[in-house]
Amino acid sequence: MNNPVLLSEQSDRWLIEQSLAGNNGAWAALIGRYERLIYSIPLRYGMSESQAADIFQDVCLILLERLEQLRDHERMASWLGTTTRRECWRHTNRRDRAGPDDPDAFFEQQPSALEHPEVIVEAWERYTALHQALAKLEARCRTLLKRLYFGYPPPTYVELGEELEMPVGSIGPTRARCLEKLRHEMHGENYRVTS
Amino acid sequence: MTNQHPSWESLVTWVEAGAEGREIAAHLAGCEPCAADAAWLAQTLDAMQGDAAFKAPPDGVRQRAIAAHRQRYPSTGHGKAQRTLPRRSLLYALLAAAALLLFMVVVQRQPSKAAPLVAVTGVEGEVTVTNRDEQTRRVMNGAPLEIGDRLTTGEDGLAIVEFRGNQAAVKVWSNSELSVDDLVVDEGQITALDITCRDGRMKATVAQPMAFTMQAYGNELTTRQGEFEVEYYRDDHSTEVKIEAGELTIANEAGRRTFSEGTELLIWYQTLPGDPLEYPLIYGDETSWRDGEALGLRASQ
Repeated sequence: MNNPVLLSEQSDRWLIEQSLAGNNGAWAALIGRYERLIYSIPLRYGMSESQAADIFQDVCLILLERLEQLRDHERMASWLGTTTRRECWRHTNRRDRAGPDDPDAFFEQQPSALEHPEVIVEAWERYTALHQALAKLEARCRTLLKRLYFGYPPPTYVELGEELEMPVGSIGPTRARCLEKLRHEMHGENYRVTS
Repeated sequence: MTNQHPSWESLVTWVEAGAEGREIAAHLAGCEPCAADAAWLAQTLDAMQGDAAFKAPPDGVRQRAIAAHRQRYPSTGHGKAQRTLPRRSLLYALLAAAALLLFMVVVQRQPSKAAPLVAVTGVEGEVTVTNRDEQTRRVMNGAPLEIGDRLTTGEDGLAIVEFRGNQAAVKVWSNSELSVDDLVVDEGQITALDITCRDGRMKATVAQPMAFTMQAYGNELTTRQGEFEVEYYRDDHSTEVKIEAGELTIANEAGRRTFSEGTELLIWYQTLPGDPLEYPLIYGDETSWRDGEALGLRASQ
């Protein structure tokens, strides 16, 4: 019997093979894996949401065109980061018709120091690892951490206690234990945690 | 530097408070492992609070990108990117096909032991199956499941229910229960599949198009192809649904609506003032988690 197919747990290579074979679910999973990275780069470069949407479409079409060549690519995120940056440059150049011919020169000329795509890719990898680890936590821990740290303003312990039906006094120790579990999920059991 | 290492909890509190507190700061200056713990906490809490820094594209934008693949690779699965075979290879391919046909004819005449339509794989810890006659047995890897069987995972249990040829699979985490209610097979392919998520957490992957339906806590989840995760929260009887690929239609007493991948939903029941009945509310993705639009809340009569 073949191994079970869980799209979100498959390698890029597998998703690319399946996309090439016409599996739209695999293509959707591939897009889902990298969509926040692609869409965020133009936004981080100060472009509008509508420009980011155009660039997102362009990058996805380039990815679709190059699927065969990318089959053996080890670092899809880096490739997408560089490609998205290039598309940001092309988009801006098309609009202004006066920019430099080289994307590196263009980005160096910008008034604010724009992050290099590799820096954004690293931040995105941390973001992804965090969310994958959160997904592995038990529901109670995940809910507690999300409610405590993801929203603004954060709820008070009294509000949280009522919402999660937890004694207020146990929220502090529980959130520390949940953070410890999160760290183990991200780095393994051998990672040291202050005792 | 003080010799006493700060506890993990006090370190969390210290980082949350913006690293105010000289005693801990002094300790960290001379304690590399504690400083590493504090650095991890600071980076992680920072990443959580800056979550919007990696914003997802709007649904419509995502859908256009996914549709581009459908246009290029229509359901036949033959896209532009697939190479045309050279003539000699075509001849070999025809010969191979003829040999395969002959083989299939011979094999079909033999009494064969077909692979089960539904099988349990990836078994870890305690996993049991209860049949329609309420007989319960522990299952091992590769054990078949029949229609009407209920699979239950224990405290340490984990299993994957696999449907023939990887057309679909459901990963079942601990303390969960799944039943296979019905399936339809046409020319060797599963065309319709009904299952029920009775408790716990599971992730369904529908790799090949089919009419896939999962009943989960008063909600009917249907998809043609895609991947989604369902988890039941006993505390407040709410259901979390994360759509990771494809589209998912959710129907319950409140109505019916289709969501696309990347959507995270929390569905729970709310009693209206003066109304003895409970009605389900669906809240949208994470950004509108707390004050999102209620989906078709039925007004009490």
